[in-house]
Amino acid sequence: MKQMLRMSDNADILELKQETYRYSMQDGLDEIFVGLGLIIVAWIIESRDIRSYGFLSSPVIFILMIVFRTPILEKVRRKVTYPRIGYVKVHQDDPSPPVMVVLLFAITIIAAAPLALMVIPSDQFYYDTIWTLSLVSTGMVMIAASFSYVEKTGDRRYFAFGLLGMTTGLIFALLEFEPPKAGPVFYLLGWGVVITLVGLTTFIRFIHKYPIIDPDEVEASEQ
Amino acid sequence: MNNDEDTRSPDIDRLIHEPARLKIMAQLYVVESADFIFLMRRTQLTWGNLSSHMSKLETAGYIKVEKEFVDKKPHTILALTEKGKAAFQSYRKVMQQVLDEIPE
Repeated sequence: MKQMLRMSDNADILELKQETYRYSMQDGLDEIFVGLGLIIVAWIIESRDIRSYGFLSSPVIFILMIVFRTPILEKVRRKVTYPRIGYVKVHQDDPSPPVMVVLLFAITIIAAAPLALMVIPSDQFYYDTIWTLSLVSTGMVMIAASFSYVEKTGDRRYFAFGLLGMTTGLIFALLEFEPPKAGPVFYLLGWGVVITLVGLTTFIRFIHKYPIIDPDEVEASEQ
Repeated sequence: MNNDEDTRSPDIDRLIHEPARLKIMAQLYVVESADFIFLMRRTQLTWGNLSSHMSKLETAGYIKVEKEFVDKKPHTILALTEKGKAAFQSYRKVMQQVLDEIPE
C-alpha cells in the first residue's frame, strides 16, 4: 500500500527517475572516459608548440571526444554493463537553461582559445591571459557539469565535486607557472588522474557486485 | 467487502493496482525502454513472475515488446505504449484523489 501511495506522488516519480539514472550509471565508465579525455588533452597541450598548427588538434580531439562519447560507451556497455544490470534507455532531458548557458560559454572558450592563439599574433601577455582564461573556463565546465549531474541523479555530492573543480581552477589561474601552459597541464592531468581512478574503482566494485546474468540459465533454473 | 471497495473507488485500474505490475509500470514510466534483466534487477521479481505480469500488461496494450538480436542472441526490449502511459497517469490521479479523501 505504501508503494501505491508513493507512486501517486510527483516527487516520488522524480526520485525513481533519479534513482534509475544512478543505477544505470554505476559502472564508472563515464568517469573513466572523462578522466582519460582530460589526460589526453593535457598531453596534447604539453607536447605541442602553442604557435604551431599541431596545437589545433587539441580542440579537434576535444570535439571528437564529445561526438564519439555516446557510441563508444554504448559499445562497451553492451559487452560489460548490460549483461550485468540490464539495458535501459533513460529519458535524455537537457540540462536546465542556466546550466546550459554556462556549459556552452565555457566549452566555446576552451574550443576557441587554441584557434585564437594560432590566428591572432600577439605578445606573451596575451598567451598567458588565454591560459588563465582556459583554467577558469574548465573550472566553469566542471561546476556546470556537476549541476547537471545533481539534476539527473539527485545526488548532491556532485556539488562538492564541481565546487572543488572550480576552486582549483581559480587557484591555478592565480598561481604563476613557468612555462604558463604548465598550469592547465597540471590542472587537467591532476583531475584526469583523480577522475580515472574514481572511475576504475567504481568499475571494479561494479563488476564484483553484479555478476553476468544469462537469461537462458535463469529461465531454465526456474523451470 | 469487495463490493464496498469497488463502490468507493470505481476508477482504480485493477491491472496496475497489483503491486508487482505497479512496480513494472512505474519503472517503465520513468525510462524510454528497458530489457528483462533490468526489470528483474529493479523489481526483484523472478524471471517467471516478470514474464507472467508482462504478458498481462502486453495483452492490455500497456507495454510493447520488441525483439532484436545482439551477438546472435535474442534480446527483448520493453517500453510503455501511449495507452500504458495514459493508464499509469490516470491511475496516479485516481490514487491521489483517494488519498485526498482520507480524513486527517
